[in-house]
Amino acid sequence: MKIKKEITRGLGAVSACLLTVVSIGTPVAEAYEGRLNTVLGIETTKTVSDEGSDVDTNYYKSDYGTDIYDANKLQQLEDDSAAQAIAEQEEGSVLLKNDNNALPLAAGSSITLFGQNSIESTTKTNDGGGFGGSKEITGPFYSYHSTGNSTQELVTYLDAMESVYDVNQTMVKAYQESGYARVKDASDPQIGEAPADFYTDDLKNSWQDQYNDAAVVMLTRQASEDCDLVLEDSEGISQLALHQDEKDLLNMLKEQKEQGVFKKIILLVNSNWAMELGDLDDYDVDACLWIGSPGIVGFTGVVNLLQGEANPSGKLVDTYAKNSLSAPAITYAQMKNTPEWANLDEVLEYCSDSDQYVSNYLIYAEDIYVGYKYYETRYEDTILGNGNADSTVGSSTGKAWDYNDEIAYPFGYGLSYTTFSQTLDSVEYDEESDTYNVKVTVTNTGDTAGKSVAEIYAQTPYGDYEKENNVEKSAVQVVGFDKTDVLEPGASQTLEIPVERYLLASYDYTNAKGYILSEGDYYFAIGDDAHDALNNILAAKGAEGMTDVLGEKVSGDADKAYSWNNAKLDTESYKMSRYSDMEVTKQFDDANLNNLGTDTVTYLSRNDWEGTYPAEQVAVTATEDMMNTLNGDLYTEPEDAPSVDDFTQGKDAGLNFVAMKDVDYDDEDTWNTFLDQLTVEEMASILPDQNGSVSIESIAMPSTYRGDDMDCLEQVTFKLTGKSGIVWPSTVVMTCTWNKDDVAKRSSLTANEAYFMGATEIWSGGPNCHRTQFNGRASAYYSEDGNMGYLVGTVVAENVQKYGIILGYKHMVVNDQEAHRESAATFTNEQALREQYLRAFEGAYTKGGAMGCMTAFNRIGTTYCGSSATLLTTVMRGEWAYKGHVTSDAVVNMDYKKHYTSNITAGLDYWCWDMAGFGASDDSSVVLSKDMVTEAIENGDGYMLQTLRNATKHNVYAQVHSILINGLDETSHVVHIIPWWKTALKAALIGFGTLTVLFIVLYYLEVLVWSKKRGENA
Amino acid sequence: MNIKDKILGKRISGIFNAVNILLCLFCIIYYSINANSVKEFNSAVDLYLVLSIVCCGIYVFADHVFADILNLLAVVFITLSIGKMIVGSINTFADALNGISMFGSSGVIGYIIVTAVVMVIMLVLEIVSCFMSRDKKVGIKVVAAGK
Repeated sequence: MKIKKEITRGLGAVSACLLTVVSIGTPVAEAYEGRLNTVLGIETTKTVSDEGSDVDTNYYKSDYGTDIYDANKLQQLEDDSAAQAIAEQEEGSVLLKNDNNALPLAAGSSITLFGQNSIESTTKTNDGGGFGGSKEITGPFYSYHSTGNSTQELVTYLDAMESVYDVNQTMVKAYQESGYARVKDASDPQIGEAPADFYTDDLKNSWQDQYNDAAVVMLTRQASEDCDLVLEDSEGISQLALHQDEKDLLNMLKEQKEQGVFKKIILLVNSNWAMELGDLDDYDVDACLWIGSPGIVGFTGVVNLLQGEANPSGKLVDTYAKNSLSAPAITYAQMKNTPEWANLDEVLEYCSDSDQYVSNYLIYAEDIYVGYKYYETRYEDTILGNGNADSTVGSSTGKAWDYNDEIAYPFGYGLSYTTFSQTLDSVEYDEESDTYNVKVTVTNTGDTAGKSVAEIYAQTPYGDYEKENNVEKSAVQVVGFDKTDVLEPGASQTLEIPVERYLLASYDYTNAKGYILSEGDYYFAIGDDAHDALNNILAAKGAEGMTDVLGEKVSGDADKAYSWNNAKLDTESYKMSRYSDMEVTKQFDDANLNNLGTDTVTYLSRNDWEGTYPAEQVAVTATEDMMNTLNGDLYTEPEDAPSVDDFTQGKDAGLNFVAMKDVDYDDEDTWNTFLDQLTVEEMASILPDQNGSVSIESIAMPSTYRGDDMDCLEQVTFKLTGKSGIVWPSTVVMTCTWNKDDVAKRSSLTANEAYFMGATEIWSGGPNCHRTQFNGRASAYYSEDGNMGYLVGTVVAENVQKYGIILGYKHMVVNDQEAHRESAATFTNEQALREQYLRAFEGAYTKGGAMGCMTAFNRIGTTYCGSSATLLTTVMRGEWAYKGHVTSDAVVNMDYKKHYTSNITAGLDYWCWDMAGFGASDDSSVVLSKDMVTEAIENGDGYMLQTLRNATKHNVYAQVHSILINGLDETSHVVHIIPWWKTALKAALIGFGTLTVLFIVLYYLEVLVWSKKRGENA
Repeated sequence: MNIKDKILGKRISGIFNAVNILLCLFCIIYYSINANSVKEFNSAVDLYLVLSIVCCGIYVFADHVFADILNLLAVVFITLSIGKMIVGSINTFADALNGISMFGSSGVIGYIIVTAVVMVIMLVLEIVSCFMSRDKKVGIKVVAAGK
């Protein structure tokens, strides 16, 4: 036999190469099995039940039926979502200014659109910007989610405007071809506005004789996850300030208006972050409409507002300061102001985790004074002459602090095309529900139909006790709200708004070490916004010298305030949890820097604004105890730990997964019997997540499917089409509706989308606070105010959970900036933590029934949130009686998040994206949570086994109250399906291996045997 | 016989292997410097490149029948080196392409791409060399038949 030996060697080399590739790739693919299956849309389990049962196993139903492959119903859902998105944009946009009835702008008007960022380029890629990184973007900021995989078509700003107005095409074309673009970047962003010389005479001529009914200008700011706005950009100013090119544009338009060319100037603010808008009068801007980021169809709503088809009724949920850097929180915020430990070298030497995860800290030195709580409280103290509030410290002008120098638009502010009057009719306290019922009558006193918001604010006493014991009090805090229906001119509606008395309590962390109700005078007030409400309270107090937001002297309206007196300090009413038998006390001492035996911080106090204002950072030296906590290994097996042999595992009792759906959480006997059925390996198998967990066949528990995000379900997709959910207007727009019905509708529709995706859990919701206006992810978070988060979150959770979708609420807690989110040590005192940051989560859990939680990347104090037993077990399960499950945020093999035994014993129940990172280190190991926990148990750690059982209970309890039980009954069993790619890889391994051996053998047969035989025979 | 003759004696196959020795050396140095600078160095990448050099070297300089398939072995080692580098850079590519530091890497992919391109060139050369003989062609000597 004669074969060319080089051919066999060559073919052998090819097959050897392919064999090597498959050998390397197979473990990678298996490590990412969950992600791979998600991306390829592969189901790995099928549940099979015996036929003949007439039990309806659609335990959870959507509003669009139970067949998630029904194309018509899916389209209807998405169309309804689009309609709601438009309605939400109409109700959530905020009219900030409307002089001379500039708006509405009649349909058919001949206008020119200005603002480079308002028009998509025809010469550059328009990809929206997405997450993180440095990206050049043109066109408006619709959302940081991609609009490319939605069932809905993107309605661009230009398309929407052209559908109603006669738009100057010369300017449109000029912007399209200009080549200018903004840059989203966490270090060096660019505003992207066209410079003054862009507006040549030719361009100016295009609007001299037509297209001059209005100049409509859009200003845009964009940030995202992993990309904050910057405190100081390349122009040396705040990214939220008006930049020179923007000022030049506005000045040019002002000049054109003065020359009689443009009849009016209308400004659209396309930003979820509070831009500096204090100087609009200087540019003769007639009207200003804040639109946030409108999502995929929201510009239809914007145009409806502009032309008067809808009446603006939105109200701000952030404070718009004239100087975005004037808040005390700025001292420790964002990339620029997040310091490193004073003894950094020592910390890095001590800690074994990667340097970047142990280096930084933040101090919330502003105490509770975030957003309006700072500005309005300091305002009250200037009026009343308290606490040297009018000192120059913290003043933006360098002169005595003056509210009107600092604020452009207050929290709760928003105008309408009509006018309303509101009367505070009555306040009644119901002891049984521990709730005040506040009645407000709203009357439309104008000539256009519209909706109005009744905002309820409260003031609680700040007296000697509070001053002596560092119990800070905001002059006002929002405690309730409601919105009218559409009121025709002259019509009235009476709203009855419940206000929980609990929201009036303050946390005293120095003396009572619990919640107190202060002694003294309490006030409820209504108002057009927080400042107006405060003026009404000040009027009720007999104060004088108040000003409105425009700086005009006002006397306030005492009739819009209601007052009562608490005769003595009450330390009992909220001493105990409202949901369990646990005392609410003193849990976060180690989050307060002043308790850690190192450098101390002076928290801001209204008792002495000047002396306590955090003007400079404190350089903190980490102590050995702090370094030990930073190092992350917090778990050691307790001395009184049970033995592994004390537990039974793997003993079948006939209780399958769905059988647990009606078992009470506290029925320990039944839960233990259930858990006894599972082996350690089975329980551990559901710890690592890759957008879902694996099935457990012995109890017929199917695999799960879950993913992100706020504002759009993008990481999970519809089973039928593979498309993402609708791209909503930003969460900020939703909150600015101040309409619980709108919040409920969006949440319901989002849950219905999840249902049609077969997603058992969505990591969503937005309770992190806008602590400063530079938080890149603020689009997705409700507000600067903790109570607002409490009130809105309650509605969100109720309306997601009722469809059997677990709301994986995130990110728990004090994750208020993107810079160094992994993993800044965040110090705060317990009052601020409870009343602001935990408060924003509390409503969803205690009232709304949320069954999921995702911890934050950062640390609380020096303890990684995923390792904080105080947070996850004591507060969540103890005080809040939380029964759901808790996940980490994405682990992806990052070392500081892989102290698994510390995490699970603190109360974590599973790990998001716990998969091999395959990093560059020599030890690119695949040790996951399940491996480490199992290993501890195999080494005899009975406490770990007890903990694993608890985690399994939490995971099962949450999931047995989700759509995961749909289709299951007592006869159900899970059939595991091997994904096709696994079979293909195995076949490839065998095939290429065989071929390689064959070709090498053939080569040497030719060389050593056949060629010689031929030689002999020749 | 000098080195040049040794290499050329192996014909194109030998030349390819000699070139690959140089390319391996370049990759070792380039990868080591750049990966270390961003603290993402994986010694396995260099180890397999060294083994590749050994295989290529023996293939060029050793005349033994069992050395014939060392270029095939070099293919395996080059593939392993590429694989180790790519797999070890999954984090880096994920971060770089998403523009996010979710995976905690440096996000620097430039040197990885350069190294990978050079390695792929090496791989192709080595596979091609496997299809070619390494034996010197011996001219046919015609001996006139005696009368």
